[in-house]
Amino acid sequence: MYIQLLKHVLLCLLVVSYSTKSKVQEYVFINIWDEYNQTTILPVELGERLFLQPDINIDQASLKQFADRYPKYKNITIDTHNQLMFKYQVRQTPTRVIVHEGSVKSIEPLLQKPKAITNTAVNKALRTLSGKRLDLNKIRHEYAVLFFSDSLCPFQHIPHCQQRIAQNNQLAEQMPDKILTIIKPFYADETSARNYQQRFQVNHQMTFDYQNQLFRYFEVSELPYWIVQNSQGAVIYRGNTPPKKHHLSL
Amino acid sequence: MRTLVWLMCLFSATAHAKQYLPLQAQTLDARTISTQGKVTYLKFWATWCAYCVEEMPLLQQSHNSANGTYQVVSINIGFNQNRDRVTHYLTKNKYNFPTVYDGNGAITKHYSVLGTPQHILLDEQGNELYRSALFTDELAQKLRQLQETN
Repeated sequence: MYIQLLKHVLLCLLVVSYSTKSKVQEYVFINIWDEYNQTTILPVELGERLFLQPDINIDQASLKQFADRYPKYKNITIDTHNQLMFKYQVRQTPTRVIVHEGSVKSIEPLLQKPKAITNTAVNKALRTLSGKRLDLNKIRHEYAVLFFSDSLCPFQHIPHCQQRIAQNNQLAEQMPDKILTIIKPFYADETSARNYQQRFQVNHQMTFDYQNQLFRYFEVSELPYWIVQNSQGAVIYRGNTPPKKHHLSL
Repeated sequence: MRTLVWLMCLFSATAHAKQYLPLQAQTLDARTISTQGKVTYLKFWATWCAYCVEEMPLLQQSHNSANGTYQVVSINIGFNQNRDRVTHYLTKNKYNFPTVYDGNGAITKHYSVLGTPQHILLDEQGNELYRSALFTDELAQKLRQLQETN
């Protein structure tokens, strides 16, 4: 009899617990770009947890890449047009919003733990991805075409980048030793530059501009972007469309 | 005549452009700005956005060269930002273009901005003449052409 009673109590507890939990929704807003550098310390779940990425500087491919790397965030979705962010007036990440039966029970900022810094970019000298040493003088005199690109491609701030990269690859077929692709260092590392090389089947020289010095020197703010230099190292063309034959003496 | 032709070219492109209601807001240094009746160059940004920060000298330059032909308004999007830190950043770098702190995100939403940086050029009626994520040659050219209308 006692066992029957105990079973009944346990079942009731389970049902109560389930029904309580099922009515509680937890929205955890994180910013994946911050998570790469500092991990959010996730508190004990108080309801059905949904991870949300604000709809700022994001696309599905970047989100998937993040979820693949950090499986605990596998259900993360984009808060399209920031609807929930506006609804709950969330302006900082990470933040947890707890909603019970439609009403907000709490909005709390979550803590983050910084990751050990492994980026040694500051001391890295310029080299091609194949290991050839580079400096500004070599770049100005050994290469006719500099193609400034971004390993985040495809992404919203780099319009038509896939098409531009294909155009540059075509150009490189005609003058493989005279073209250098330069990769932007923001939000990227040399590994992502190598992934870019593979993904876009780049067969000419590439470099990862660790300190953004080439972008600064050539005053490139737009991506993707071409610069053509003559044999004296003077810039004779710059623009976001491929150089014409007369620029290249082809 | 050249000015007239340029203005016609510029504004003929607005026939199908998106139109925004005028924006009126307070800048961080308590000035009131309005887009009503003014060609306006808006830049949406945040201090954590590396691309935005890199472009800031270009924004200052655009502001310095405007010479009354357009107004520059920088909009800090207020997401993962702090008003005091934004003010400190601008002061430290000696940037003096008008900056609005979009604390609740309403302005960012109003202009359908979902990424930083974001550059928007509006005509006097609030029609969107140009929009880009990065500071492009095309934007620089449009600003230069506006400067030449003076």
